[in-house]
Amino acid sequence: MTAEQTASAPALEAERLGMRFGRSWALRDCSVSLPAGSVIALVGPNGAGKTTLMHLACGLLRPSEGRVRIFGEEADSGSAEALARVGFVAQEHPLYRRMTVAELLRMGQALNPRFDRKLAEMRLDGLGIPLDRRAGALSGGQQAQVSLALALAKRPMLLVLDEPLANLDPVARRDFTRTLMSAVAEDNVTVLLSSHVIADLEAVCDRLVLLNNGTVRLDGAIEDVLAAHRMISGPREAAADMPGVVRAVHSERHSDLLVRTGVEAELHPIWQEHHVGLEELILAYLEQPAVTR
Amino acid sequence: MIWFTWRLHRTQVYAGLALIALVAAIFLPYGQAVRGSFSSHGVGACLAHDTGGDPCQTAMIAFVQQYNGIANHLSTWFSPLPGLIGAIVGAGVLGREYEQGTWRLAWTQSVPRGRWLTQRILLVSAGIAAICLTLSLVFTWFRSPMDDVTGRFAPGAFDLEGLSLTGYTLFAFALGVLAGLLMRRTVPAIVVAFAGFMAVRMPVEFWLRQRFQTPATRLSAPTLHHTFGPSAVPTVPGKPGWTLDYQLVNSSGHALTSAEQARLDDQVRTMHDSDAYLRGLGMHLKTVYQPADRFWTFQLIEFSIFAGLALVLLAFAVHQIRRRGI
Repeated sequence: MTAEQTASAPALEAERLGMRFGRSWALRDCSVSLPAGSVIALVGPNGAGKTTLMHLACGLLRPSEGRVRIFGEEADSGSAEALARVGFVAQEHPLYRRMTVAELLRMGQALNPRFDRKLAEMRLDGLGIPLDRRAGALSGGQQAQVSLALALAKRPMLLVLDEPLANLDPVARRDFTRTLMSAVAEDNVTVLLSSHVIADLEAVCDRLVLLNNGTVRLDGAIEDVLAAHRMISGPREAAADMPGVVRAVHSERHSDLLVRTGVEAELHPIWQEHHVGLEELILAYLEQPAVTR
Repeated sequence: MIWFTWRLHRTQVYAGLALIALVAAIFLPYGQAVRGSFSSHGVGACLAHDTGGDPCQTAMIAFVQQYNGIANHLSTWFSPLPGLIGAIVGAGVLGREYEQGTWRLAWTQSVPRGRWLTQRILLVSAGIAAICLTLSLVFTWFRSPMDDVTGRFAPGAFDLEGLSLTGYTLFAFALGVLAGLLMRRTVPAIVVAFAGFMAVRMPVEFWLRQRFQTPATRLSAPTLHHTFGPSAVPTVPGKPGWTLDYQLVNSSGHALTSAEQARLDDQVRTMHDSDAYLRGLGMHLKTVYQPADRFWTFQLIEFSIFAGLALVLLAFAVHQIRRRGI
């Protein structure tokens, strides 16, 4: 694979990707292509397959069917180069608790070809995290920062973060997001991050992938996705004829509909139109998985 | 990987060195005492002169009774230790990674996880071998006066000297690694690995080992006063081997039936010199034994069994890690 091919390939490309644990499928028939250079939010309820997709992207799992490529190369190829290209911050940001921060950085340097220990030390120093402290003695927010610093110091092309903000207090959450954003600006790294907290994602991400029950429900630039939907409200009897409804909430005479724009004809004036927020949109898709087309 | 493995296992290395220090602190002075007694009883001189006669038998029995019991007890207490140490170290290799979730950190660095596990296993195995061989050296030195009298095949000698101790520990380590991989928990993996270790170790010791090579036989002057077991003292010259069985055989070389044996026991009960009577009947004492010079062959076979099993188990663990990942 030449550098050019790598640069032009999508950061992540899943092709009919499926992962089965025992009898149940955590992920099935998942096809998605994520362009390089974006910050992608991976959203979905618990058990939607977010962690599975991320583990597949990092090569921690081998797909039961289909394939997933990172910058054009199979994620489970098991080569050191493929591993070096992806930085991963796992859920609950696991660290060797008995190692000091400095030792963790030394480990990173020992196990990665392009590890930038100086940069990581500088970043952690800037956050006031003592390098001689054992990881187990750090606060949750500091552990998350150390995990992020380790992943970024690999100089990855793709950074995968599994629920990085869960279990963090609001200040730690803000600090983490800030570090992440400045790293994205400096390193030009593609980021795939999952979270429950939709408000956090909106500030950080420019692209959305919505997973539910192991398949992709929605995928696109957040701007486009928002522009392609709107909330309308009007008389209930007219609601049945409306095309492109994602979710309908009916009261006795009145209906609130989330619809996809561009599907319906000229909107009848009996309908009142509102813009839809990201959170509202995501919730609508999660609550009403059966989308009428 | 060398620094990383050292960092994860250095506490265990320190514990291993402490164990060596403890064993040396106990057994080196004790070994001196044994040597003192060995010369004061004149055991060395007896062994040099064809085990010579009744005074020497008495001296050797006195020496063996003074020390052999304790030495065998010590080794009995020590014998589950390789299994326990190996299981604890082995189960932690993957069990702890799973328990603490650090496998997701470790295997997303740039070292492919198959290589990660292989290198870690090799380095830890080398450490185990170094510590166990040192312990075996201390035990061998401590036991050598006793071994001169009772042989090196008694469990208390054979299981601690040479290569066997190292083989056992490596085998338990491999079981621990695999159990940690399959169970993803450290403590249950230790229990399972230790149980698996004993389930192989005991049958090898009590059933298989004596069959490594076809035993030799020897005919000697008949006696009803032979001693048998780990405290037996030699009655024939040369380094003592491993006696598996004694039988009285008649003049045509056939073993006595149990009826004949019972009748004989009745006849000699009141006799003053029963051995002379047996000689008069043309009987011999047939000894089935493993000669002393087979010690290293047996050590190599024993080591090959356990180290070979360890190799198979570890190769399987690496294969599993590469194939399925988590």
